[in-house]
Amino acid sequence: MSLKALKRALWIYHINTGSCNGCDIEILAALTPRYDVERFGMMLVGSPRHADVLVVTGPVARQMVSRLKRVYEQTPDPKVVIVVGSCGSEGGVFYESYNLVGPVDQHIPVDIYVPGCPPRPEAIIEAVTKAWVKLEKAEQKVT
Amino acid sequence: MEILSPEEIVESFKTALGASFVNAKIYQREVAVKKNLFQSIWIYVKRDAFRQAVEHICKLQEYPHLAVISSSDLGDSVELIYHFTIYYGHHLKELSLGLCLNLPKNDLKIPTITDIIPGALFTERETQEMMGVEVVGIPDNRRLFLPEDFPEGVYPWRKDEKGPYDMLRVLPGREKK
Repeated sequence: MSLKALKRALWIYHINTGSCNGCDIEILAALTPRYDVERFGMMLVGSPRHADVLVVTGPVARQMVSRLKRVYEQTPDPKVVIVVGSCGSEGGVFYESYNLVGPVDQHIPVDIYVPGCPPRPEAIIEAVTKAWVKLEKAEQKVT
Repeated sequence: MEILSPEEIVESFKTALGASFVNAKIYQREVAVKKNLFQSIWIYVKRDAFRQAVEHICKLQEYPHLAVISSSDLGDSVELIYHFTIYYGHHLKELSLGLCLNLPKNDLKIPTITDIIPGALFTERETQEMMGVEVVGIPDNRRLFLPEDFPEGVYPWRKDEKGPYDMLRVLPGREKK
């Protein structure tokens, strides 16, 4: 996999389904000048209809299930879903809780998992580059 | 507002509450290199003089700081502790005051303090839905953290038969506890 010029800058929408905010802070730290993902043109958008990548954190609480599904349906194709943190992958520390309805992949299809509690910003950047490769292949299939 | 020592505060509670005053404990410890004294007071009252005790704290300092209302299940009774902090800002004289109540399980009711301290609404709603303690006279009776379709009569913080045992998530490959 060789990184030629990025033909398309990825726009990211972030949704938090009940997490402790540790993973959200690490995602925000990846956008600051130290780890700098913004040099590729990636930015956080305010609406899922503008987004290419959906970043989901947190174990899914019971109140957030219908909202998560609606946001997934509002994002236009082709899209990539990234799950950040071990809460979304397998429940994390809350794996037996009474308010948890499954990890994220029981409700929406997921492409990339980033384990860690919280994962380092370098791991999140590697996940985003893998997402870019997947997105290019998905675009070639559509056109 | 004058700053009283912990022993004087305990004496003022004894004279104000009379018979409903059960017990008081003063906890002291020396902290850090300079060996400063860290003090906290725990006062045990009965339920009928509870609102009088809260008004007495408001006389010690005009706006006391209520941090949280903590509750724990002790088998036959539920113990509620109201955590206050007074004399904030005066160096080395800050005190934490804990107002402890013991409620029997067949009569779990307690009056509200939202007319004295309006900010206690959130933590009273949380105690009401998580522990099952009924707060008499609360202005807003909705659920705070639990979703609306959570079954009635199931209280997550309890350890007896009303706990959330049916609602726990079972991992694939394991049986229910």
